[in-house]
Amino acid sequence: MIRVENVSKWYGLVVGVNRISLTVEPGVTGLLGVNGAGKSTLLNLMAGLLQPSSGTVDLDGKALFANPESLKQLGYCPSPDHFYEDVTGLEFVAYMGRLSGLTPEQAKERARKACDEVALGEEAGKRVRGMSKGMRQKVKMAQALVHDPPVLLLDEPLNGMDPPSRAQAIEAIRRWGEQGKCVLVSSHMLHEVEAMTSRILLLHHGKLLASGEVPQVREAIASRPMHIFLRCADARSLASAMIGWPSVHAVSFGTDGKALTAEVTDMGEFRARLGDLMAERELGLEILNPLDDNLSAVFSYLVT
Amino acid sequence: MADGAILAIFGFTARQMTRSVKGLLFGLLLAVPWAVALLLRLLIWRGVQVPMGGVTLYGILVLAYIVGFLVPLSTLFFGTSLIADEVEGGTLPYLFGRPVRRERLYLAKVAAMTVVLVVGSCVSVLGTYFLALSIDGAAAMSKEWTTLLGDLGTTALGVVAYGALFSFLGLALKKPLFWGLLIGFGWENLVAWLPGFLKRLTLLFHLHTLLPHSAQPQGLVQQMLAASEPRAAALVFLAVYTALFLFLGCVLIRRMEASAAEREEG
Repeated sequence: MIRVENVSKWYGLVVGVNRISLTVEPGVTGLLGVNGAGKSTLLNLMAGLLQPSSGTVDLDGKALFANPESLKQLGYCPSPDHFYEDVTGLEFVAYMGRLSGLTPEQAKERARKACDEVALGEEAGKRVRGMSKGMRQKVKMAQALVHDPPVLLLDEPLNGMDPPSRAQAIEAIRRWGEQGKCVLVSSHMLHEVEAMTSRILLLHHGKLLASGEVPQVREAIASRPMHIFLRCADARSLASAMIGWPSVHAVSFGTDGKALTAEVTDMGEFRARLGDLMAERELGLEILNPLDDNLSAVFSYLVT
Repeated sequence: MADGAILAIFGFTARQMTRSVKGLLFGLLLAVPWAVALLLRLLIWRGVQVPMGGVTLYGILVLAYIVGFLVPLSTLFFGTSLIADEVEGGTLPYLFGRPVRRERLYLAKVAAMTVVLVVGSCVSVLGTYFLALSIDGAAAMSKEWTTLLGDLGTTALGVVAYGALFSFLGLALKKPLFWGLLIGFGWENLVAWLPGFLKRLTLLFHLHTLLPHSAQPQGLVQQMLAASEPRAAALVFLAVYTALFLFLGCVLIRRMEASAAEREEG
Protein backbone atom coordinates (compact mmCIF):
# COMPACT_ATOMS: atom_id res chain seq x y z
CA MET A 1 0.00 0.00 0.00
CA ILE A 2 1.36 3.42 -0.97
CA ARG A 3 0.86 6.12 1.61
CA VAL A 4 1.24 9.79 0.80
CA GLU A 5 1.20 11.99 3.87
CA ASN A 6 0.92 15.75 3.75
CA VAL A 7 3.14 15.89 0.68
CA SER A 8 4.00 19.08 -1.14
CA LYS A 9 6.34 19.52 -4.06
CA TRP A 10 7.55 22.90 -5.24
CA TYR A 11 9.62 23.74 -8.28
CA GLY A 12 10.99 27.07 -7.14
CA LEU A 13 7.90 29.22 -6.78
CA VAL A 14 5.69 26.83 -8.73
CA VAL A 15 3.64 24.39 -6.71
CA GLY A 16 3.50 20.90 -8.19
CA VAL A 17 1.33 19.31 -5.53
CA ASN A 18 0.16 20.90 -2.31
CA ARG A 19 -0.31 19.11 1.03
CA ILE A 20 -1.70 15.90 -0.37
CA SER A 21 -2.52 12.95 1.85
CA LEU A 22 -3.89 9.71 0.46
CA THR A 23 -3.44 5.97 0.38
CA VAL A 24 -3.61 3.69 -2.64
CA GLU A 25 -5.08 0.29 -1.84
CA PRO A 26 -5.15 -2.91 -3.92
CA GLY A 27 -7.40 -2.68 -6.97
CA VAL A 28 -7.60 0.00 -9.64
CA THR A 29 -7.71 3.66 -8.65
CA GLY A 30 -8.17 6.42 -11.20
CA LEU A 31 -6.15 9.60 -10.83
CA LEU A 32 -8.06 12.38 -12.52
CA GLY A 33 -7.25 15.95 -13.32
CA VAL A 34 -6.87 18.37 -16.17
CA ASN A 35 -3.43 18.93 -17.73
CA GLY A 36 -1.22 20.65 -15.18
CA ALA A 37 -3.28 19.45 -12.22
CA GLY A 38 -0.26 17.70 -10.70
CA LYS A 39 -1.00 14.09 -11.72
CA SER A 40 2.46 13.38 -13.14
CA THR A 41 4.17 15.11 -10.24
CA LEU A 42 2.22 12.97 -7.78
CA LEU A 43 3.01 9.80 -9.74
CA ASN A 44 6.69 10.75 -9.93
CA LEU A 45 6.72 11.24 -6.17
CA MET A 46 5.10 7.84 -5.75
CA ALA A 47 7.56 6.26 -8.20
CA GLY A 48 10.50 7.48 -6.12
CA LEU A 49 11.71 9.79 -8.86
CA LEU A 50 11.04 13.05 -7.07
CA GLN A 51 11.77 13.90 -3.47
CA PRO A 52 8.92 15.63 -1.63
CA SER A 53 9.61 19.21 -0.58
CA SER A 54 7.69 18.32 2.56
CA GLY A 55 5.78 15.29 3.79
CA THR A 56 6.44 11.60 3.17
CA VAL A 57 5.72 9.05 0.47
CA ASP A 58 6.21 5.43 1.44
CA LEU A 59 5.42 1.94 0.29
CA ASP A 60 4.60 -0.46 3.12
CA GLY A 61 6.30 1.89 5.55
CA LYS A 62 9.52 2.33 3.56
CA ALA A 63 10.42 5.66 1.95
CA LEU A 64 10.28 5.56 -1.84
CA PHE A 65 12.73 8.17 -3.07
CA ALA A 66 15.84 6.44 -4.48
CA ASN A 67 15.20 3.40 -2.30
CA PRO A 68 15.88 0.11 -4.13
CA GLU A 69 14.06 -1.92 -1.48
CA SER A 70 10.79 -0.13 -2.20
CA LEU A 71 11.35 0.27 -5.93
CA LYS A 72 11.52 -3.54 -6.28
CA GLN A 73 7.79 -3.65 -5.65
CA LEU A 74 6.88 -0.94 -8.09
CA GLY A 75 6.32 -0.68 -11.83
CA TYR A 76 6.09 2.77 -13.35
CA CYS A 77 4.87 3.69 -16.82
CA PRO A 78 5.80 7.33 -17.50
CA SER A 79 3.65 9.59 -19.62
CA PRO A 80 6.21 11.21 -21.97
CA ASP A 81 6.99 9.28 -25.14
CA HIS A 82 10.71 8.78 -24.47
CA PHE A 83 12.70 5.66 -25.28
CA TYR A 84 16.02 4.22 -26.26
CA GLU A 85 15.05 4.29 -29.91
CA ASP A 86 17.56 1.87 -31.42
CA VAL A 87 16.56 -1.24 -29.52
CA THR A 88 13.61 -3.52 -30.12
CA GLY A 89 10.62 -3.46 -27.80
CA LEU A 90 11.58 -6.85 -26.42
CA GLU A 91 15.19 -5.82 -25.83
CA PHE A 92 14.05 -2.70 -24.01
CA VAL A 93 11.60 -4.56 -21.79
CA ALA A 94 14.19 -7.28 -21.08
CA TYR A 95 16.78 -4.60 -20.18
CA MET A 96 14.32 -3.13 -17.69
CA GLY A 97 13.82 -6.64 -16.34
CA ARG A 98 17.56 -7.05 -15.85
CA LEU A 99 17.62 -3.77 -13.94
CA SER A 100 14.93 -5.20 -11.69
CA GLY A 101 17.17 -8.10 -10.78
CA LEU A 102 16.07 -10.77 -13.27
CA THR A 103 18.67 -13.05 -14.82
CA PRO A 104 19.16 -12.72 -18.61
CA GLU A 105 17.01 -15.82 -19.21
CA GLN A 106 14.29 -14.71 -16.81
CA ALA A 107 14.35 -11.22 -18.30
CA LYS A 108 13.84 -12.56 -21.82
CA GLU A 109 11.03 -14.85 -20.76
CA ARG A 110 9.31 -12.22 -18.62
CA ALA A 111 9.71 -9.59 -21.35
CA ARG A 112 7.91 -11.86 -23.83
CA LYS A 113 5.17 -12.52 -21.28
CA ALA A 114 4.75 -8.82 -20.45
CA CYS A 115 4.56 -7.93 -24.14
CA ASP A 116 1.89 -10.58 -24.62
CA GLU A 117 0.02 -9.26 -21.58
CA VAL A 118 -0.34 -5.86 -23.23
CA ALA A 119 -1.19 -7.45 -26.61
CA LEU A 120 1.98 -6.25 -28.29
CA GLY A 121 2.38 -9.51 -30.15
CA GLU A 122 4.99 -9.78 -32.88
CA GLU A 123 5.38 -6.00 -32.95
CA ALA A 124 7.56 -6.40 -29.85
CA GLY A 125 10.41 -7.55 -32.10
CA LYS A 126 10.46 -4.25 -33.99
CA ARG A 127 12.81 -1.40 -33.20
CA VAL A 128 11.10 1.17 -30.98
CA ARG A 129 11.97 3.91 -33.50
CA GLY A 130 9.69 2.31 -36.08
CA MET A 131 6.72 1.74 -33.78
CA SER A 132 3.44 3.64 -33.79
CA LYS A 133 2.50 5.74 -30.76
CA GLY A 134 0.06 3.10 -29.57
CA MET A 135 2.70 0.36 -29.79
CA ARG A 136 5.17 2.52 -27.91
CA GLN A 137 2.59 3.00 -25.17
CA LYS A 138 2.26 -0.76 -24.92
CA VAL A 139 6.04 -1.14 -24.64
CA LYS A 140 6.01 1.36 -21.77
CA MET A 141 3.29 -0.63 -20.04
CA ALA A 142 5.17 -3.89 -20.61
CA GLN A 143 8.37 -2.52 -19.04
CA ALA A 144 6.38 -1.54 -15.95
CA LEU A 145 5.04 -5.09 -15.71
CA VAL A 146 8.13 -7.09 -16.56
CA HIS A 147 9.19 -7.89 -12.98
CA ASP A 148 5.60 -8.57 -11.89
CA PRO A 149 5.42 -5.83 -9.25
CA PRO A 150 2.53 -5.64 -6.78
CA VAL A 151 2.20 -1.88 -7.41
CA LEU A 152 1.68 -0.32 -10.85
CA LEU A 153 1.73 3.40 -11.49
CA LEU A 154 0.48 4.18 -15.00
CA ASP A 155 0.67 7.78 -16.21
CA GLU A 156 -1.77 8.36 -19.09
CA PRO A 157 -1.21 4.82 -20.40
CA LEU A 158 -3.89 4.96 -23.08
CA ASN A 159 -2.58 8.05 -24.88
CA GLY A 160 -2.20 7.49 -28.58
CA MET A 161 -3.80 4.04 -28.65
CA ASP A 162 -6.45 3.19 -31.23
CA PRO A 163 -9.91 2.11 -29.92
CA PRO A 164 -9.28 -1.67 -30.02
CA SER A 165 -5.95 -1.21 -28.23
CA ARG A 166 -7.63 1.02 -25.65
CA ALA A 167 -10.23 -1.62 -24.99
CA GLN A 168 -7.49 -4.26 -24.59
CA ALA A 169 -5.50 -2.02 -22.27
CA ILE A 170 -8.53 -1.18 -20.15
CA GLU A 171 -9.31 -4.88 -19.88
CA ALA A 172 -5.72 -5.62 -18.86
CA ILE A 173 -5.71 -2.88 -16.22
CA ARG A 174 -8.97 -4.18 -14.75
CA ARG A 175 -7.50 -7.68 -14.73
CA TRP A 176 -4.40 -6.55 -12.82
CA GLY A 177 -6.64 -4.84 -10.29
CA GLU A 178 -8.69 -8.01 -9.88
CA GLN A 179 -5.47 -9.97 -9.38
CA GLY A 180 -4.83 -7.84 -6.29
CA LYS A 181 -2.28 -5.46 -7.70
CA CYS A 182 -2.34 -1.89 -6.51
CA VAL A 183 -2.91 -0.01 -9.79
CA LEU A 184 -3.01 3.78 -9.98
CA VAL A 185 -3.92 5.07 -13.44
CA SER A 186 -3.83 8.74 -14.32
CA SER A 187 -5.96 10.19 -17.07
CA HIS A 188 -7.81 13.30 -18.08
CA MET A 189 -10.27 11.19 -20.09
CA LEU A 190 -13.11 10.51 -17.70
CA HIS A 191 -14.79 7.79 -19.68
CA GLU A 192 -11.54 5.81 -19.77
CA VAL A 193 -11.20 5.88 -16.01
CA GLU A 194 -14.86 5.11 -15.61
CA ALA A 195 -14.39 1.99 -17.71
CA MET A 196 -11.63 0.78 -15.40
CA THR A 197 -12.82 1.68 -11.94
CA SER A 198 -15.25 3.67 -9.85
CA ARG A 199 -12.56 4.56 -7.31
CA ILE A 200 -11.01 7.93 -8.01
CA LEU A 201 -8.61 10.56 -6.77
CA LEU A 202 -9.31 13.96 -8.20
CA LEU A 203 -6.53 16.54 -8.42
CA HIS A 204 -6.82 20.18 -9.34
CA HIS A 205 -4.16 22.89 -9.12
CA GLY A 206 -1.97 20.49 -7.17
CA LYS A 207 -4.58 19.79 -4.52
CA LEU A 208 -6.56 16.65 -3.87
CA LEU A 209 -10.15 17.73 -4.38
CA ALA A 210 -11.86 14.42 -3.77
CA SER A 211 -11.19 10.73 -3.27
CA GLY A 212 -13.35 7.61 -3.01
CA GLU A 213 -16.05 5.88 -5.06
CA VAL A 214 -17.68 8.13 -7.65
CA PRO A 215 -21.21 8.04 -6.10
CA GLN A 216 -19.74 8.70 -2.63
CA VAL A 217 -17.75 11.60 -3.94
CA ARG A 218 -20.83 12.93 -5.64
CA GLU A 219 -22.88 12.74 -2.48
CA ALA A 220 -20.11 14.41 -0.53
CA ILE A 221 -20.52 17.52 -2.62
CA ALA A 222 -23.43 18.77 -0.59
CA SER A 223 -23.17 22.36 -1.65
CA ARG A 224 -23.84 21.57 -5.31
CA PRO A 225 -27.30 20.32 -6.31
CA MET A 226 -27.61 16.94 -7.97
CA HIS A 227 -29.75 16.64 -11.08
CA ILE A 228 -32.44 13.94 -10.94
CA PHE A 229 -34.41 13.07 -14.03
CA LEU A 230 -37.96 11.84 -13.38
CA ARG A 231 -40.67 10.69 -15.75
CA CYS A 232 -44.25 10.09 -14.59
CA ALA A 233 -47.85 10.31 -15.76
CA ASP A 234 -48.64 13.32 -13.52
CA ALA A 235 -45.48 15.40 -13.66
CA ARG A 236 -47.24 18.64 -12.66
CA SER A 237 -48.53 17.21 -9.35
CA LEU A 238 -45.14 15.75 -8.60
CA ALA A 239 -43.40 19.05 -9.33
CA SER A 240 -45.80 21.08 -7.18
CA ALA A 241 -45.22 18.67 -4.27
CA MET A 242 -41.46 18.59 -4.68
CA ILE A 243 -40.94 22.33 -4.91
CA GLY A 244 -41.94 22.67 -1.26
CA TRP A 245 -39.34 20.20 -0.03
CA PRO A 246 -36.19 21.73 1.55
CA SER A 247 -34.00 19.28 -0.36
CA VAL A 248 -35.26 20.42 -3.78
CA HIS A 249 -33.57 23.53 -5.11
CA ALA A 250 -35.39 23.83 -8.46
CA VAL A 251 -37.57 21.88 -10.87
CA SER A 252 -37.70 22.17 -14.66
CA PHE A 253 -40.06 20.47 -17.11
CA GLY A 254 -39.24 18.52 -20.23
CA THR A 255 -40.93 19.22 -23.56
CA ASP A 256 -43.54 16.45 -23.42
CA GLY A 257 -44.95 17.46 -20.00
CA LYS A 258 -44.17 14.04 -18.50
CA ALA A 259 -40.49 14.51 -17.82
CA LEU A 260 -38.94 16.79 -15.26
CA THR A 261 -35.53 17.44 -13.77
CA ALA A 262 -35.14 18.27 -10.10
CA GLU A 263 -32.07 19.92 -8.60
CA VAL A 264 -31.62 18.14 -5.28
CA THR A 265 -29.28 19.21 -2.48
CA ASP A 266 -29.92 16.33 -0.05
CA MET A 267 -30.41 13.01 -1.79
CA GLY A 268 -31.36 11.12 1.40
CA GLU A 269 -34.12 13.52 2.35
CA PHE A 270 -35.36 13.63 -1.26
CA ARG A 271 -35.61 9.84 -1.47
CA ALA A 272 -37.50 9.64 1.85
CA ARG A 273 -40.02 12.31 0.86
CA LEU A 274 -40.50 10.86 -2.61
CA GLY A 275 -41.20 7.46 -1.04
CA ASP A 276 -43.80 8.99 1.27
CA LEU A 277 -45.41 10.84 -1.63
CA MET A 278 -45.64 7.73 -3.77
CA ALA A 279 -47.29 5.90 -0.86
CA GLU A 280 -49.89 8.67 -0.60
CA ARG A 281 -50.61 9.28 -4.27
CA GLU A 282 -50.61 7.37 -7.54
CA LEU A 283 -48.11 9.36 -9.59
CA GLY A 284 -47.29 6.76 -12.20
CA LEU A 285 -43.52 7.19 -11.74
CA GLU A 286 -41.73 5.48 -14.66
CA ILE A 287 -38.12 6.69 -14.43
CA LEU A 288 -35.93 8.08 -11.66
CA ASN A 289 -32.38 8.60 -12.89
CA PRO A 290 -29.58 10.61 -11.18
CA LEU A 291 -27.93 12.50 -14.05
CA ASP A 292 -24.80 13.42 -12.11
CA ASP A 293 -23.79 10.03 -10.81
CA ASN A 294 -20.87 9.76 -13.20
CA LEU A 295 -17.31 10.98 -13.36
CA SER A 296 -17.97 13.67 -15.89
CA ALA A 297 -20.45 15.43 -13.65
CA VAL A 298 -18.33 15.01 -10.54
CA PHE A 299 -15.33 16.32 -12.38
CA SER A 300 -17.06 19.37 -13.79
CA TYR A 301 -18.64 20.19 -10.44
CA LEU A 302 -15.36 20.01 -8.64
CA VAL A 303 -13.12 21.87 -11.02
CA THR A 304 -15.44 24.64 -12.23
CA MET B 1 20.53 -4.93 -6.28
CA ALA B 2 22.07 -7.90 -8.07
CA ASP B 3 25.29 -7.59 -10.01
CA GLY B 4 23.33 -8.66 -13.07
CA ALA B 5 21.72 -5.22 -13.14
CA ILE B 6 25.13 -3.56 -13.04
CA LEU B 7 26.39 -5.78 -15.84
CA ALA B 8 23.29 -4.96 -17.87
CA ILE B 9 23.85 -1.21 -17.43
CA PHE B 10 27.52 -1.66 -18.31
CA GLY B 11 26.72 -3.60 -21.48
CA PHE B 12 23.88 -1.33 -22.55
CA THR B 13 25.96 1.82 -22.06
CA ALA B 14 28.94 0.39 -23.94
CA ARG B 15 26.67 -0.72 -26.77
CA GLN B 16 25.06 2.69 -27.02
CA MET B 17 28.44 4.41 -27.06
CA THR B 18 29.87 2.29 -29.81
CA ARG B 19 26.77 2.61 -31.98
CA SER B 20 26.37 6.36 -31.67
CA VAL B 21 27.53 9.16 -33.96
CA LYS B 22 29.91 10.22 -31.19
CA GLY B 23 31.31 6.69 -31.22
CA LEU B 24 31.91 6.87 -34.95
CA LEU B 25 33.63 10.24 -34.56
CA PHE B 26 35.82 8.81 -31.80
CA GLY B 27 36.74 5.97 -34.13
CA LEU B 28 37.84 8.46 -36.77
CA LEU B 29 39.78 10.61 -34.30
CA LEU B 30 41.75 7.70 -32.92
CA ALA B 31 43.01 6.93 -36.42
CA VAL B 32 44.36 10.45 -37.01
CA PRO B 33 47.88 9.70 -35.65
CA TRP B 34 48.01 6.65 -37.91
CA ALA B 35 47.35 8.91 -40.88
CA VAL B 36 50.11 11.29 -39.73
CA ALA B 37 52.57 8.43 -39.32
CA LEU B 38 51.67 7.09 -42.75
CA LEU B 39 52.12 10.54 -44.22
CA LEU B 40 55.61 10.76 -42.71
CA ARG B 41 56.47 7.39 -44.18
CA LEU B 42 55.19 8.51 -47.55
CA LEU B 43 57.30 11.66 -47.42
CA ILE B 44 60.43 9.67 -46.48
CA TRP B 45 59.67 7.14 -49.21
CA ARG B 46 59.45 9.95 -51.77
CA GLY B 47 62.83 11.28 -50.63
CA VAL B 48 61.60 14.36 -48.80
CA GLN B 49 63.87 15.51 -45.97
CA VAL B 50 61.91 15.41 -42.71
CA PRO B 51 63.19 16.97 -39.47
CA MET B 52 62.26 14.04 -37.23
CA GLY B 53 62.43 10.29 -37.04
CA GLY B 54 59.78 7.78 -36.10
CA VAL B 55 60.56 7.79 -32.37
CA THR B 56 60.24 11.57 -32.13
CA LEU B 57 57.05 11.57 -34.16
CA TYR B 58 55.59 8.86 -31.93
CA GLY B 59 56.48 10.85 -28.81
CA ILE B 60 54.86 14.00 -30.16
CA LEU B 61 51.72 12.17 -31.26
CA VAL B 62 51.28 10.48 -27.89
CA LEU B 63 52.02 13.61 -25.89
CA ALA B 64 50.28 16.27 -27.94
CA TYR B 65 47.54 14.35 -29.68
CA ILE B 66 46.54 11.27 -27.71
CA VAL B 67 47.15 12.36 -24.10
CA GLY B 68 46.78 16.09 -24.72
CA PHE B 69 43.82 16.05 -27.10
CA LEU B 70 42.12 12.72 -27.83
CA VAL B 71 41.79 11.58 -24.22
CA PRO B 72 40.42 14.89 -22.83
CA LEU B 73 38.15 15.41 -25.84
CA SER B 74 36.65 11.91 -25.90
CA THR B 75 36.11 11.79 -22.13
CA LEU B 76 34.65 15.29 -22.28
CA PHE B 77 32.05 14.38 -24.89
CA PHE B 78 31.16 10.98 -23.49
CA GLY B 79 31.55 11.85 -19.80
CA THR B 80 29.46 15.00 -19.73
CA SER B 81 26.67 13.29 -21.66
CA LEU B 82 26.69 10.09 -19.64
CA ILE B 83 23.71 11.13 -17.50
CA ALA B 84 22.81 14.33 -19.37
CA ASP B 85 21.76 12.29 -22.43
CA GLU B 86 19.42 10.25 -20.24
CA VAL B 87 17.95 13.46 -18.85
CA GLU B 88 17.53 15.09 -22.25
CA GLY B 89 16.27 11.90 -23.83
CA GLY B 90 13.73 11.47 -21.03
CA THR B 91 14.96 7.95 -20.27
CA LEU B 92 16.23 8.68 -16.77
CA PRO B 93 12.93 7.71 -15.08
CA TYR B 94 13.34 4.19 -16.51
CA LEU B 95 16.70 3.88 -14.71
CA PHE B 96 15.83 5.71 -11.51
CA GLY B 97 12.55 3.82 -11.21
CA ARG B 98 14.40 0.50 -10.94
CA PRO B 99 15.74 -1.14 -7.77
CA VAL B 100 19.37 -0.26 -8.46
CA ARG B 101 21.34 1.96 -6.13
CA ARG B 102 21.93 5.23 -7.91
CA GLU B 103 25.64 5.21 -7.07
CA ARG B 104 26.09 1.77 -8.59
CA LEU B 105 24.16 2.77 -11.67
CA TYR B 106 26.40 5.81 -12.10
CA LEU B 107 29.62 3.89 -11.52
CA ALA B 108 28.52 1.17 -13.95
CA LYS B 109 27.98 3.78 -16.63
CA VAL B 110 31.31 5.49 -15.89
CA ALA B 111 33.04 2.10 -16.00
CA ALA B 112 31.48 1.25 -19.37
CA MET B 113 32.57 4.57 -20.81
CA THR B 114 36.07 4.16 -19.38
CA VAL B 115 36.53 0.67 -20.78
CA VAL B 116 35.38 1.68 -24.28
CA LEU B 117 37.60 4.76 -24.32
CA VAL B 118 40.61 2.97 -22.82
CA VAL B 119 40.36 0.27 -25.47
CA GLY B 120 39.96 2.86 -28.25
CA SER B 121 42.77 5.11 -27.00
CA CYS B 122 45.14 2.20 -26.46
CA VAL B 123 44.41 0.90 -29.96
CA SER B 124 45.33 4.35 -31.19
CA VAL B 125 48.62 4.31 -29.22
CA LEU B 126 49.47 0.81 -30.47
CA GLY B 127 48.74 1.64 -34.08
CA THR B 128 50.76 4.85 -33.82
CA TYR B 129 53.64 2.96 -32.25
CA PHE B 130 53.86 0.40 -35.01
CA LEU B 131 53.31 2.83 -37.87
CA ALA B 132 55.68 5.52 -36.54
CA LEU B 133 58.50 3.38 -35.18
CA SER B 134 58.61 1.08 -38.16
CA ILE B 135 59.99 4.12 -40.01
CA ASP B 136 63.17 3.73 -37.93
CA GLY B 137 63.27 -0.02 -38.35
CA ALA B 138 62.65 -3.09 -36.24
CA ALA B 139 65.51 -2.27 -33.89
CA ALA B 140 63.82 0.96 -32.77
CA MET B 141 60.60 -0.90 -32.16
CA SER B 142 62.18 -3.52 -29.95
CA LYS B 143 64.15 -0.84 -28.08
CA GLU B 144 61.12 1.28 -27.27
CA TRP B 145 58.66 -1.37 -26.13
CA THR B 146 58.92 -0.28 -22.48
CA THR B 147 58.01 3.22 -23.63
CA LEU B 148 54.97 1.73 -25.33
CA LEU B 149 53.89 0.00 -22.12
CA GLY B 150 54.30 3.24 -20.18
CA ASP B 151 52.31 5.15 -22.80
CA LEU B 152 49.51 2.60 -22.73
CA GLY B 153 49.34 2.77 -18.94
CA THR B 154 49.41 6.57 -18.88
CA THR B 155 46.76 6.80 -21.58
CA ALA B 156 44.51 4.45 -19.61
CA LEU B 157 45.07 6.46 -16.43
CA GLY B 158 44.28 9.62 -18.37
CA VAL B 159 40.96 8.17 -19.54
CA VAL B 160 40.10 7.07 -16.01
CA ALA B 161 40.92 10.45 -14.44
CA TYR B 162 39.43 12.65 -17.15
CA GLY B 163 36.42 10.33 -17.38
CA ALA B 164 35.74 10.76 -13.66
CA LEU B 165 36.19 14.55 -13.92
CA PHE B 166 33.88 15.07 -16.89
CA SER B 167 31.25 12.61 -15.67
CA PHE B 168 31.12 14.63 -12.46
CA LEU B 169 30.87 17.90 -14.40
CA GLY B 170 28.02 16.39 -16.41
CA LEU B 171 26.09 15.96 -13.19
CA ALA B 172 27.15 19.11 -11.41
CA LEU B 173 26.81 21.81 -14.07
CA LYS B 174 24.05 23.05 -16.31
CA LYS B 175 26.27 23.55 -19.36
CA PRO B 176 28.83 20.82 -18.76
CA LEU B 177 30.20 20.80 -22.30
CA PHE B 178 31.07 24.49 -22.15
CA TRP B 179 32.67 24.23 -18.72
CA GLY B 180 34.32 20.98 -19.69
CA LEU B 181 35.93 22.59 -22.73
CA LEU B 182 37.07 25.47 -20.56
CA ILE B 183 38.57 23.16 -17.96
CA GLY B 184 39.84 20.46 -20.31
CA PHE B 185 41.46 22.70 -22.88
CA GLY B 186 41.82 26.00 -21.04
CA TRP B 187 42.77 25.36 -17.45
CA GLU B 188 44.51 22.04 -18.09
CA ASN B 189 46.64 23.21 -21.00
CA LEU B 190 47.56 26.57 -19.58
CA VAL B 191 48.22 25.72 -15.96
CA ALA B 192 49.96 22.38 -16.58
CA TRP B 193 52.93 24.23 -18.05
CA LEU B 194 53.18 26.93 -15.39
CA PRO B 195 55.88 26.82 -12.72
CA GLY B 196 54.86 26.50 -9.08
CA PHE B 197 52.31 24.36 -7.27
CA LEU B 198 49.23 25.32 -9.26
CA LYS B 199 49.99 22.84 -12.03
CA ARG B 200 49.46 20.02 -9.55
CA LEU B 201 45.79 20.93 -9.68
CA THR B 202 45.66 19.72 -13.27
CA LEU B 203 45.44 16.15 -14.47
CA LEU B 204 47.66 16.82 -17.47
CA PHE B 205 50.70 17.71 -15.38
CA HIS B 206 50.58 14.39 -13.55
CA LEU B 207 50.00 12.50 -16.79
CA HIS B 208 53.03 14.21 -18.31
CA THR B 209 55.06 13.10 -15.32
CA LEU B 210 54.06 9.53 -15.99
CA LEU B 211 54.77 9.54 -19.71
CA PRO B 212 57.96 7.48 -20.15
CA HIS B 213 59.40 9.86 -22.74
CA SER B 214 60.38 12.13 -19.88
CA ALA B 215 62.80 9.51 -18.56
CA GLN B 216 65.32 10.47 -21.21
CA PRO B 217 65.53 14.28 -21.33
CA GLN B 218 67.33 14.69 -24.63
CA GLY B 219 65.17 16.07 -27.40
CA LEU B 220 62.57 18.83 -27.56
CA VAL B 221 59.68 16.58 -26.50
CA GLN B 222 61.67 15.12 -23.65
CA GLN B 223 62.61 18.56 -22.40
CA MET B 224 59.01 19.69 -22.52
CA LEU B 225 58.09 16.67 -20.47
CA ALA B 226 60.88 16.97 -17.92
CA ALA B 227 59.21 15.78 -14.73
CA SER B 228 59.25 17.92 -11.63
CA GLU B 229 57.58 15.43 -9.29
CA PRO B 230 58.18 11.76 -8.57
CA ARG B 231 56.04 9.33 -10.53
CA ALA B 232 54.64 7.89 -7.33
CA ALA B 233 53.37 11.33 -6.41
CA ALA B 234 51.74 11.67 -9.83
CA LEU B 235 50.02 8.33 -9.35
CA VAL B 236 48.77 9.35 -5.90
CA PHE B 237 47.50 12.69 -7.19
CA LEU B 238 45.65 11.02 -10.08
CA ALA B 239 44.16 8.39 -7.78
CA VAL B 240 42.99 11.01 -5.30
CA TYR B 241 41.48 13.23 -8.00
CA THR B 242 39.73 10.27 -9.61
CA ALA B 243 38.34 9.03 -6.30
CA LEU B 244 37.21 12.54 -5.38
CA PHE B 245 35.39 13.12 -8.66
CA LEU B 246 33.72 9.71 -8.51
CA PHE B 247 32.68 10.29 -4.91
CA LEU B 248 31.21 13.70 -5.71
CA GLY B 249 29.40 12.22 -8.70
CA CYS B 250 27.91 9.54 -6.44
CA VAL B 251 26.77 12.17 -3.94
CA LEU B 252 25.08 14.18 -6.67
CA ILE B 253 23.33 11.26 -8.34
CA ARG B 254 22.04 10.06 -4.97
CA ARG B 255 20.14 13.34 -4.58
CA MET B 256 19.18 13.78 -8.22
CA GLU B 257 15.54 13.86 -9.26
CA ALA B 258 14.18 12.56 -12.54
CA SER B 259 13.72 14.76 -15.58
CA ALA B 260 11.94 18.09 -15.51
CA ALA B 261 10.10 17.06 -18.69
CA GLU B 262 7.96 14.87 -16.48
CA ARG B 263 6.54 17.72 -14.47
CA GLU B 264 5.44 19.66 -17.54
CA GLU B 265 3.02 16.90 -18.36
CA GLY B 266 0.81 17.78 -15.43
